[in-house]
Formats: sequence, C-alpha cells, structure tokens
Amino acid sequence: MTATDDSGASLTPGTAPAGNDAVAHDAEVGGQRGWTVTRGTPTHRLVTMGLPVLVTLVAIGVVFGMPVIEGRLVTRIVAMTVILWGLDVQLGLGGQLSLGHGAFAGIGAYTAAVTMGVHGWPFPLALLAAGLLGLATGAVVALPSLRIQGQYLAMITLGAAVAFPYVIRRYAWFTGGPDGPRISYEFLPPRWMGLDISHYSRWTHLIVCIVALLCYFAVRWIVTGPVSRQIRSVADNPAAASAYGVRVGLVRVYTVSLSAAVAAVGGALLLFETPAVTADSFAVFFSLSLYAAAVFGGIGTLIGSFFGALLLIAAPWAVSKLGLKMEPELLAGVVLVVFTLVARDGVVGLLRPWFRAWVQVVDTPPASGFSGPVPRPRASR
Amino acid sequence: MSYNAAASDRRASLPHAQSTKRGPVLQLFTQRIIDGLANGAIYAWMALAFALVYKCSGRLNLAQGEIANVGTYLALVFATAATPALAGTGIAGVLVPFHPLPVWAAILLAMTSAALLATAIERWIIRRSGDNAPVVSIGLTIGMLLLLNSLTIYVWKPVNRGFRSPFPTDAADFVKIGGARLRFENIGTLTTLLVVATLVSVVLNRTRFGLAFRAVSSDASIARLMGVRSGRVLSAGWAVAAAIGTLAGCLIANRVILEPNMMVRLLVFGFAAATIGGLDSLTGALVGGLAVGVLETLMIGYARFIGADLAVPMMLLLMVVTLLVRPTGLMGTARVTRV
Repeated sequence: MTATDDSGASLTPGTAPAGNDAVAHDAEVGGQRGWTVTRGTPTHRLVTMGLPVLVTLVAIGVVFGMPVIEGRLVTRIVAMTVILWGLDVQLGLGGQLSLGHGAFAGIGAYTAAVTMGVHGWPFPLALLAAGLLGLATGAVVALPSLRIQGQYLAMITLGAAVAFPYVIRRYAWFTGGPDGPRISYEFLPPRWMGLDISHYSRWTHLIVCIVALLCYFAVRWIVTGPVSRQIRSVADNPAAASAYGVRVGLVRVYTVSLSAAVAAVGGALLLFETPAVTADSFAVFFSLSLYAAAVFGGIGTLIGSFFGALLLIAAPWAVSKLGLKMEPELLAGVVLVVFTLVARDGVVGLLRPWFRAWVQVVDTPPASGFSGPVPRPRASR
Repeated sequence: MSYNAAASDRRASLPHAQSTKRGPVLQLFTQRIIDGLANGAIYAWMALAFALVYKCSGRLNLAQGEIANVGTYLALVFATAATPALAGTGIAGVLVPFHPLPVWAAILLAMTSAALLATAIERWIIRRSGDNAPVVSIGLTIGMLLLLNSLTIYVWKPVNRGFRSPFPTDAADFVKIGGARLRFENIGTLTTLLVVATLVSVVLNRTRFGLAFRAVSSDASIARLMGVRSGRVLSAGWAVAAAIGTLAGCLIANRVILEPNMMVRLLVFGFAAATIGGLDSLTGALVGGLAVGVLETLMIGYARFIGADLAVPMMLLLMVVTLLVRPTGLMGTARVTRV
C-alpha cells in the first residue's frame, strides 16, 4: 500500500475544486476544459494555504449558527479528521499498515485528560504534551516494525489495539482507569469575546478548528515537504533508498512517530469536545473503524480523511436520525468490504475524474505551441 | 460500549481464580501448569485455525475470532431451551423450533454452521477480490470482523451469557495430582485437543484431500497446473479453521463469559501462539498454543507486577521478540524470496 496516488491535486486541501493556480491557462491544453494550474507558483501557494484557512473560517462560522448538538457533531468530525490525517501519514505516505491507531488517539486523549483535568495545565500545553507523548510512543512502537513487515505487522498492530485498554487499567493510579480521571478543567471563553458560559461548545469548537488548521499545515508539510521524499523513497523501495543514502530505519521510525503524534493531538481534540474519556472508546473496534474510514476516504489523500470522519461521526448520526438502530461498526465493516472490493481508492478516487475535468495540476507550464496531452507528473501526490 | 469493561474484568480474573490459593510451592506450580495447559489448548485451536488458513492461502484471516464467536452463539442457541438464556432476543423461537440438543450435538452442529459461513465468506467475498495483495485480504477480513461483531451484538445483544460446558464441572469433579486439582473439564479439553490434532493430521497425511491441501500449501500455482482444484481446497481450509475455532469458542465460553467481544482478547493469544509456533506450521500451532497458555499462567502467577491486565501486552511483547529473534517461529519454514 504505497502512495498510489499520482494526481497532483488530491493532497491539496481540497474541499472545493480549488483552482490552485496561478497561471490559469486556458482550457485548450490537451483538449480539456477547466484550468491547468502550475505547482509552486505564488498563486498556487496562496490558494493551497488560503483555502484551508477559508474552510476553517466557514466551519467556525457555520457552527455558530447551528443548534448545540449538531454543532458538537461538527467539532467531532474536525477532531476525527485530524486523527485520520495521522493514520494517513502512515498508511498513505509511509506505506505501512496500521490497525492500531486508535491507541495513539487514546494516548492523546488520556494525556490531555490527565494534564488538563487533573493537573490543571492550560490546553495548549496539554496538546503539546499529547503530541510529544504520541511522538515518543510512536517511536517505541515503530522499533519492531523495522524488521516486522506485512501481515505480521497487521497482527502486532491489531494486538496493540486490543492491549491498549488493559494497559490503561493496569496503570489506573496514573491514568484514572478505564473510565478516565475526573476532569475539572473548563473551557471558558475569554471575556473580550463577548461569549458567556452558554457558548461553551462554540468556544471549544473554535479552539478545535484552529488546532486542526495548524495540524493541517503540519501534515501537509509532512506529506509534501522535504521529509516526504525520504519517506516515500523508503516506502517505494527501501534498498534503492538506502543506496541513495537515506537512513531507512530512521525514516521508518519517524514516519510512525509523526503519524502517532498527529493522531494523539486528534485524540486530545476529541477530549476537548467531550471532557470525559473511557478506554473502551479507544479500544480495538475504534482502531479498526479508523482503518475502515481511511479506506473509505481514500488512502493517500488528506481530503479523504474528511470523508472518513463523516463515515465515523456523521453517518451513524444520520442513521439514528432516520430512526434506525445500528451499531456504527456495522457501517464501517460493510463500507470496508465494499470499498475494498469495488473502489479501492475510496471516495476521493470516485470523485477524482470529476475533479480532473475542472482542474489540472502540472509541475511546469507546458511550452507554447504544445498541443498534445499534458504529461502527468510522476513524483507528485 | 460500557458493558465491555465489566465483562473483561471478570474475564481477566476468571480463568486463574483457582490458582491463587496458597499452598505448597510445588503443588501451586503443578496447578498453574495444569491451568496453563488447559487455557493453552484453546489458544492452540485458535492458532491452528490461523495456520490452516495461512498454509493454504498465504493470508491471515483476521475475522477468525468473530466467525468462531458466531459459531459459539449458534451452539448456545442449539443447546438451550428457548426461554431463559436467550430471553429478550426473540431469536430462539425463530431458529429453534426443535427441542434443545445435547451440548455435544449442539457444538457439532454449530461447528458445521460456522464452517458453512466461513466457506461462504471465502467463496463470495475474499475470492471475489481477485487480488493477491495481502493488504486486500486484510481489509476484507477486518471488514468481516467489524460486520460479524456488530451483527452478533444486534442479534444476541451485548449481554453476558452463561454457556454450559460439555464436561462435568461440579465442584467435586477433579482428580488430585500431587495436591493439584486436575479438573475433569481440563482433562476433557486436553483430550479433545489430542483428538482434533490426530484427526487433522490423519486427514492431511492420509487422504486425497490432505494431499491436495499439502500441494496447494507448498505451491498453489503448480498445484493448479497439476489439476488440483485449489479453490475448493481454499474453501475447505477456511471451513475446517472455522469449525476448529468454534470448538475453541465453545470450550472456553464457560470459563470466560460469552459476550459479543469474547473472541477479541483470545485473538491476540491465538496470534501469539501462531507466531511462536510458526505461522505455517500446524504442529507449531499446537506447541505454541500450549506454551502460550503455560507462560500466561506462570507469568500472572509468579510475576505480581505484571498481573492479569498486562497479559495481553506481554503476549504482544512475546510476539515481537519472537519475530525479531526467530521470524519463522519455532517450527515454521523459512521462505526465501528472491528480490
């Protein structure tokens, strides 16, 4: 499961068929309509940086106009998206299987619960602690994966997901046990914002959205920045990467590490939304549902994580709204089977042709007079 | 899923409750070995089930535990009178128009049903993917795991249920060996393990099907060229594995508590047993299972700082160490791949 994605556009913040481009060439190129956009130009940067900010602002604004329950649902979707970004760094970019990312999210949630709830740390510090602890546990967990590959990795990570609640219970004096510590921290909006205590959930939503935006930039840096080239080279061909001087072991470790850190921050964000944590809510079925959600959204794409989060949060809510009783895992299971059989690139894969009809992302502008089809850049995601 | 914690609390303590009594050192040790072997038999079956599927298809069936869980519930349905045990689920009246069967018959019937279910899954879902990449089958079996688990919860409700052992389990049903109690139940479990192991080995080594199975597991494409119908072998491998898993579920269900997530924890022990024995070795699965069972009781009994809660993480550690030191396990075959 290496980075299968060869489209230029899929990792852009997406949401809309964003015209990432600068030099909006006219549609004639290759006989296709839509814009051809060039990677790396200032306008491209402006769009890829500006669009997420815009989306965040809209997400914040929308919730202020929503009833509390639905608003909190949106908050959960945002937090879940962050967790899935973490998973995607490992699955899509690193090309390594993980069925145990729920445990990393759980570590983040418990870290936030203990630091904020018990010791009264301010929330930015709690987030930082969650991220750092995720980074550290990720590194430890990654060590065996240096030599263990393939299906054994599936066993080990699945086992880790099963083991997580037991570890929490064993060290209950520190973690607060399976039902979590009692959390006394309150997110109170600052006075100057003119929000009172009744806007509690709005204020947490604001925080969650802003942190998610920061996470987005971090993850985008991971999957497109200089680090990504090393990670991808190791995922594609470790021997060749090693021959080019990439330190394969180190890269594998920090891939898992970064991925775990992002997932842990996402877990902490979940805690912000509901200030209570139970080990069972991060148990094996959560981990497996995360995997299902990643496949559903489309592995190797950041916007896919958003669709995955919709599957995990919005879909069960919609089903219950219809008056049906259903285990959320049922949906995840069915979706995983169906998408593995018929649409292995997930929702994003299904939407891609439509997106491509509107936007073409190329590395360099085609030479003038060139009238053939635009060659698709190979090394871009 | 708050019912989970309570159930697993009991689950963690139950199988070892008998071994916590104080007594002479040797007696306690013998007791722990006996308890460990009895648990180990269950793990050996789980590992055997993994190994059977892995041997013929080269793939892990992660839904193994859930198929076994469904089988165990079916055995409960077949064996119980309609009213008390399944009260409120509305299924007993539909599915059991007959009188409850004796426990053994119910288990056999459940094993057959689970085998059919597994065959159907293999034939209509796993094989349909038509892809040989492990990640595809992992995705599919994970999907089946989630699906079967939630269907189990939907049909049988997340309630703890008792399951009657097919062996006598009265307080007085034991023989003493050096002061340690060898319960009839444990004797029965271990004997059944022997019977199953013998059966599997006879079938694999003495029958036409066994020959086909061995041919497919040594090289599927060549076997196909030689006229072996490898698809049928695959289905049969899944079926036998599901039947064995169900047997394990039925025999452990009265010691831990039957609930929809019963098999999730056992899955890890099955993984550990299979890894230690060698994923593609059937003898290894038996040896690995018994070893894991004994190790578990000894570890929990003698290393107090570990405790029952850390049994699963310890198994994980054991797997990791095995894979690092001896990736093929004790009895697995090393596969040489040319790059």
